[in-house]
Amino acid sequence: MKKILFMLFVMMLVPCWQTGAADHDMTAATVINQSWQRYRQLAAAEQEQLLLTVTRLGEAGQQKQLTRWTRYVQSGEQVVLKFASPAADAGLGLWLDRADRSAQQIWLRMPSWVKARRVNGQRQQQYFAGTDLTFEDNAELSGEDPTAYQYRILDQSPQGWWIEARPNMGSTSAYAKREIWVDPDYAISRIDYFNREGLLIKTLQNRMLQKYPHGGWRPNRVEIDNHLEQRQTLIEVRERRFDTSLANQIFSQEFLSD
Amino acid sequence: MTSRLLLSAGLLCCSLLPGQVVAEHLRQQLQWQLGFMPQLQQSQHRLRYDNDLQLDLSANWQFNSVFRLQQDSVQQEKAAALWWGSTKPAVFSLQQFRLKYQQTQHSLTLGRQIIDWRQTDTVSVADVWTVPDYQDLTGGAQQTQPALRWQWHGSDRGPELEFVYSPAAVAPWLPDGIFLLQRPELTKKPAQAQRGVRLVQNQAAVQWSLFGYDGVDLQPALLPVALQPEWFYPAQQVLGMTAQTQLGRWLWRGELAKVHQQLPVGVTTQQGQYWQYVLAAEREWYGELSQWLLLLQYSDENRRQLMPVVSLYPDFGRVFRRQLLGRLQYDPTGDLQTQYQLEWAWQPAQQASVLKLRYQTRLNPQTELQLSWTGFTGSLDSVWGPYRQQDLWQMALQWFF
Repeated sequence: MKKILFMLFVMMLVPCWQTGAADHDMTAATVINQSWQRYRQLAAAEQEQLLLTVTRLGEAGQQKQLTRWTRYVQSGEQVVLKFASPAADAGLGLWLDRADRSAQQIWLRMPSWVKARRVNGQRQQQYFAGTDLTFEDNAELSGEDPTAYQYRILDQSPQGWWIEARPNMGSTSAYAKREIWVDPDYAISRIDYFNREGLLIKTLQNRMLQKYPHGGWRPNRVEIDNHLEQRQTLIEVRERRFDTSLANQIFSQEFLSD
Repeated sequence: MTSRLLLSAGLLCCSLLPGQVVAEHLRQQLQWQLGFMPQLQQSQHRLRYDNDLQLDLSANWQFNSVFRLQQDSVQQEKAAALWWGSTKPAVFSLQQFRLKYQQTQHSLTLGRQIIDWRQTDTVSVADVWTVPDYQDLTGGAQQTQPALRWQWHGSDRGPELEFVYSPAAVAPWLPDGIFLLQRPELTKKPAQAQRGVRLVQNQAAVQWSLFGYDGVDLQPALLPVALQPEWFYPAQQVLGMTAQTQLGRWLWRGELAKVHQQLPVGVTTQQGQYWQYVLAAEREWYGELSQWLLLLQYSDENRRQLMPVVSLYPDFGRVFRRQLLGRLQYDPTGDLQTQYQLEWAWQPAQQASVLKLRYQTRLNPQTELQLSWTGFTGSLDSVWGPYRQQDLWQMALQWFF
């Protein structure tokens, strides 16, 4: 009897041991939600030193150094970028305030401006600072609004999920659809971006994925191949700190002007 | 007394400083500018070096200094302009020099610093702190103020509150030979202390602020006293509000303020008050990569209950009166490399206007080129008219390193 009970107990446990990919009941939206939930559970705010290399086909790469601060709040996130080099870009700053995603605010500070200035919140599809990241991409590097998309699983395997995300009616997304690859630990490994004509615009690949205990994840290298512009942006994370002590000062118009 | 207090506070701050630098950011800029005024057949040149140093002394302490070396062909002060600035551009000037201490929700900044409450473009009723450069009204250059500033930041999108105190204001730069053939030397600096408080709040898509200011009008009046004209800075109190929000594809900005002024004339004090407002709407259009921006702005003030004394020097506040401002901006690649800009300020009542065309391009990661033309029209009694002999072609090269 004890053996039978033990066998039953083991059979109940087996599905739990397996990776999420084996869970055929998970919907695409649940997978995406789970992925970002694990991404955001690590800390309330973080700071990253980034090295960007932008390379056009047949040209030498141009390097840019910047700091990115991210704060996660209940209904969204706030992202601040500040460039340190090249010299002409030093002082360039961006604050994407999506604390309330339905009322996103974008603040920009050009190096020649005395202070940051609020710019059109619908500036989604514009590339920022000569990189292959649009304003929308910069915001969605640290979380997306699942209510703004319709998700559909295209395929699943032990290697993870392949999911299609199409913006809902009224969404301000610049893309007609994205195809997202999520690994068995719910880390996003690749995103393909398509325009309204169905053409593949660019591919983002998260490399050197760092996995944390209790499921958190971060890419330490992000490669974006822009197929239309024949350009590549490489983001290397040089340092990452989970620190919330000065968050209130950083996510402000004032900080961009400092 | 107040200067001593500020000095003591500064020394106390310095004694609390950590002994090492966590991070250092140095940005240097060299600008060479050539200008030509065809009506006057005059050319001008300027060479300017800016050194911007920021030291992060710890997570809480930050020091920032910006100094400028400048040599130009127009009249300038030979001496250095340090803490309290100068009445005209100087060979050496301290643009910023400040020490900032910040904690989770509070920050305290001491020294010469930028305090900018503006929301709208070119003209702003909330712009009570920055010291205008009337020698280059369309250039947007401003001087900073020596002040003590305390700021409190609420959590997430919570409110921000700030108090500012400045023991005395920095004098503005006034044009010579435009409104008066030769204006009396502006040796008198504004002596009044300045105080200000501002509350900023974000609610949904609306950001609004309320502010109060008690200090000085940085546009001095030139009054006949006995046989000798003298400069006076009217005392000024401003109560105002600003708001900005996005409605559909348009970004709206607005400012409204009530201004009270007092000017000592003989043994009496003349008083005046008026309302000013600015309303602006901005929209962007996007191409595959390109970006267009259109800004439309209107500013006006109600009939001033003018102080009866007529100043011998013009009232620069007239830029607010029934002025329409339009700006069209085009970035062909959307990556900040190249920009075309057309800006037109028009005062239909006075048939006065200023038109500015500007082209800016980045030649390489270190170098930028700017070409511009500024033209003025209007009668001599309008705000722009007296500049009409000074239509200006300009070329500027800037190196960043």
